[in-house]
Amino acid sequence: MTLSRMRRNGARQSIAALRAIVTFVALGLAACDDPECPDDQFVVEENGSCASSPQRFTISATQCHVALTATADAGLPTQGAMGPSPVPLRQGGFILYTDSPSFRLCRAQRVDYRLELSCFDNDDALVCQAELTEPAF
Amino acid sequence: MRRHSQGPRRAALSELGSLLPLAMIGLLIANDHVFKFVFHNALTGKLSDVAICFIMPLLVSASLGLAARIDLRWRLWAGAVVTAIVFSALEMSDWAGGWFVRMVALVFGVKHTVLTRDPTDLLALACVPLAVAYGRWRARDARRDVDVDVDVGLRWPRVRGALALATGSLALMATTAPEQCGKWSAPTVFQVDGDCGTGGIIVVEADPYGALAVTNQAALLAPEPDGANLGREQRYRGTSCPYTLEQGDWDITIGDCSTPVVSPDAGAAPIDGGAPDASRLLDAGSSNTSSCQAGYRQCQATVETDGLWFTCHGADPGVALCRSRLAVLP
Repeated sequence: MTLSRMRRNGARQSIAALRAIVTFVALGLAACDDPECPDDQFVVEENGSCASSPQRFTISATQCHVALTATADAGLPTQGAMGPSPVPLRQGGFILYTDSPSFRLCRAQRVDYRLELSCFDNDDALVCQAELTEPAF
Repeated sequence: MRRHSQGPRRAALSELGSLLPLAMIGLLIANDHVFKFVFHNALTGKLSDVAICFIMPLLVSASLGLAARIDLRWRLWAGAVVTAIVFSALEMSDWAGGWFVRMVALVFGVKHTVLTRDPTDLLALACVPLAVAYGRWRARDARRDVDVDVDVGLRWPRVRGALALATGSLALMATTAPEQCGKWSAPTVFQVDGDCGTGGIIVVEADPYGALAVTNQAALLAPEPDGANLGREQRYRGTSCPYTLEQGDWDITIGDCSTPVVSPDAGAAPIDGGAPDASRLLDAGSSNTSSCQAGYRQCQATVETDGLWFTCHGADPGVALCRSRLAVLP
């Protein structure tokens, strides 16, 4: 067998090995984890003692972080995060917290068809409660 | 005669010196040091595992081939077995992970090492038999080249093999020590009671690199004096991923103290149980603390026998400035 022929064979086998590796990589990627926190966003109406009047804003979850497009009138922190066992945003299980203008921590849980938020101050005393419901269009 | 003794060693290096193992080593280095930080997604999480499971059997086999005259088939399978055991242990065993982290700290001086574990990473082990097949094929080619005496043509594969052996070994040690946690670490809510801050509720959250953000910081730590412009580092130092902030192993350092000096009379705590004498620690004019900024504090959250405590020291690490108890709230 000549040297050039051996090299041609080697090149062919290299390509075959490369194909096999690409296949393994593709298979490995196909088995990747599902996202830990599904991203989601929807419009809600807020009622309760945190806001002086009903408010409407968007709540969203992005890579386990939660954000509200609410204004200060909503009386709620606008940033937060999912808990250690993340669930879809509509199922609650997240907290909202802020330093400004004073410390507030709101815990969200799903009750029937709505999200209930209980907000606490620096001393862990209940400050207000809010209900978030999806408006009927 | 010379060829008879060196042939197997040449072949061992040539197995590594081909394009594919070199490309895998390049991929491993690029992924660990560039792609993971730029993209940080599922693809970067798996690429290194695939590369490791392909390179490691070949590296072990080549090392055995250099060290002793062992039959090619045996050393390749020895590499496969070592790879399967080490990779599986690091993915599944806390003990193995802890041992590895200590070894990396010892060899490379890397203190903040976080192993990311994901059972689906074990799928990458499918590359191990592929590496064995590739190694056998390359060795056959290399042996054939030795037989037809194309020594000049073989020199480059051997040089590349030696290069692959050195860089691949270092890359393997570095790759399994990503300083990034790819899993969701939820913020932890603590009730703080003590004299380090005003007390109250705080929320501590960590980014994927272990940097911490504390909401309601004043409850944990008294604010710096007006006008003080001290740097602040807040970091999780543990080895768990996701981070377990409720287990301590995180700290906050305010200001800079490049070479802390322990005063000769420093004790672990005041004998009379009274408040620690903070003044002698914060006295920037004294010779003992001359290397520390005024207001320097290093505070650590650690689990003690009676729960989680947040303890601050000044320039003298032997004397506590303040202590606060942290209780996790649901």
